[in-house]
Amino acid sequence: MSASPIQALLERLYREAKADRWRLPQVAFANALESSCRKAYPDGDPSSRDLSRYLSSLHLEDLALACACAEGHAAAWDHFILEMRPVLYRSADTLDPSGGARDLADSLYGDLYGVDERGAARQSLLRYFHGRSSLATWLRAVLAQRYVDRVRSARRLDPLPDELPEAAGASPISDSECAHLVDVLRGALGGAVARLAPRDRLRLGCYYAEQLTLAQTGRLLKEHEATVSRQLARTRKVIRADVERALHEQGLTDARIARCFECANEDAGPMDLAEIFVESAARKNSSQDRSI
Amino acid sequence: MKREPVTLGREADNWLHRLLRQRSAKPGAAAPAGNCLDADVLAAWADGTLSAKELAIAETHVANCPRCLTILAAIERTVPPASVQPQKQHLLIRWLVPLTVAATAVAIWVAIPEQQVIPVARETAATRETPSTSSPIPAPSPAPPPVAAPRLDAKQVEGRQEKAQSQRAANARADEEAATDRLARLESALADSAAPVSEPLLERDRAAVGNSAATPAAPPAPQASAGALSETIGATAQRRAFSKESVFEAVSPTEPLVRWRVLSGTEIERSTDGGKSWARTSKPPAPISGIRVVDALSATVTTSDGRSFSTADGGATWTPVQEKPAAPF
Repeated sequence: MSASPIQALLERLYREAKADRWRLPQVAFANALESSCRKAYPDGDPSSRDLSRYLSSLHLEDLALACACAEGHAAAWDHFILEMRPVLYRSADTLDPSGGARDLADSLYGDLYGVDERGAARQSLLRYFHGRSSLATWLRAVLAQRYVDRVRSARRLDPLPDELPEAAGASPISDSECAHLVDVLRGALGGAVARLAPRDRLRLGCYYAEQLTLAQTGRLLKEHEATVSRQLARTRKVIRADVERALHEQGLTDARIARCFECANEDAGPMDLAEIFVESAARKNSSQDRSI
Repeated sequence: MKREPVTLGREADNWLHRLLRQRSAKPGAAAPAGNCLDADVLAAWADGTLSAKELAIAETHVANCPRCLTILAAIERTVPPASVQPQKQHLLIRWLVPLTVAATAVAIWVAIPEQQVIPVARETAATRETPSTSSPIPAPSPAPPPVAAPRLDAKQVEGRQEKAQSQRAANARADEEAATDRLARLESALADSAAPVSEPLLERDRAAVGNSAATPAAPPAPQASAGALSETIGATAQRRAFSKESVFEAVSPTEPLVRWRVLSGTEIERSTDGGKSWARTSKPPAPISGIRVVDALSATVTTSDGRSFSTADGGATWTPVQEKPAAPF
């Protein structure tokens, strides 16, 4: 592309972003767009058509606001606080109704402002906002990341169940045969979940492990909640067939398999789907894991 | 050989459902799958702006990464209610539309069958005519309110339909004669009177004669579907105007040869031979604006001051009718 069309495109995007109300230099806005493009197309140069489509799909006003805040424009920052503080606080209260996530939201402001104790250049967290979503959603995502990481690290420090005094010596399943069968079933279930297609596993994880509603699961997967319900029923059927096949392969008779299910039904204490998901994820070939 | 599942039926699905629901409420502490999605991608996923390729890659990762799954779920939980509202409204509208259609259909179903099973008195071709704009006679006063029709069982309906069918043939003949008669009167009036008579009115009467002759037993055209709603057990007369006189004419729904008519809003005549001969009856105490006919002896007239009078003796005496509240249908 020649310089002139790029310049024209930049000016158009600048106007659409209404970046002049923050007195944001055009160069700073162009740098933010370039950074966004570089992240979206890390492997090479996109065609001018793809580039134009991508740039037009960005949340330009939010990008200009974030850019202006990162540059330290007072008016932009005031606007940001006015608009985004309620979003952050409401999200924090939803994540932890007892108010435990409020301090995370408050501490987030420091990182967003990019305060540097040594007086060096500002390193605002808002530089990592590339305009692919609304600024409010991005802030919710950052807050959710921090909250989940805090909870996960706190859980790692929790004593193991067998260290708990009330848990010592108290097996959730008194019948030793039953406990063994549940262990076998658990292994078969983990294998069945691991063999599911990623989307099926994701749907199962959203609904059962994360206990989202059908509507929430549907919104994440861009499916209607009736479709989610139908697909979950289908996945359960697939899992059941796979579990039974695995148990048969382990030499269990039909009667023993039926007993397996009875035991799991009566008391599935150690059956933690979240753990099963972790195990099933570990079984997957790690080379398949990709990130973007 | 394919094995039959050990657990069958709904119970078999329930155990797995219950099993899967039993989990810790805390997010998993297991290590993430590595190279987790950053906030930018997670937010773009939540906003639905990832490309199909990016979404497929992200789904594969999140399906194997408990940390990203938990973060994604947390983002979804924090969706502000305002973002969810449009979808709820959409769902509400999606339910409202078929409900409204169904309610309308039920209302039509309730209303229409009552009209269909009742042999509607056919108005003559002339009485269907609306007054011409050039007519010196003022616009007709509204017809009497429709009478609530009783619900009929299947046998009654069948009987009445057969009867109505036979009546239609007789009506067609009578219509032809009446239209011919009126056409002759119209043309003579046009010749005698200086008052203008609308040409379309004449044309319509000519057409009525022609149509009636061509299809003597043709069923009544669904011309006045709105008017049909006001036609009930009794035939409702409408005012029609010629150059110097106005005629209200109504046919009995049960006896097609029985006709009643009101001349110039004051005189009432009755015919029992399809309009060939007319006998004058006594008059109600006020100018008449409408007439409803039941049979050769019974009829009800509405006067211009809003009162109603009925007769059960062929018009020899007229007794005032007590107003009753209108029926819902």
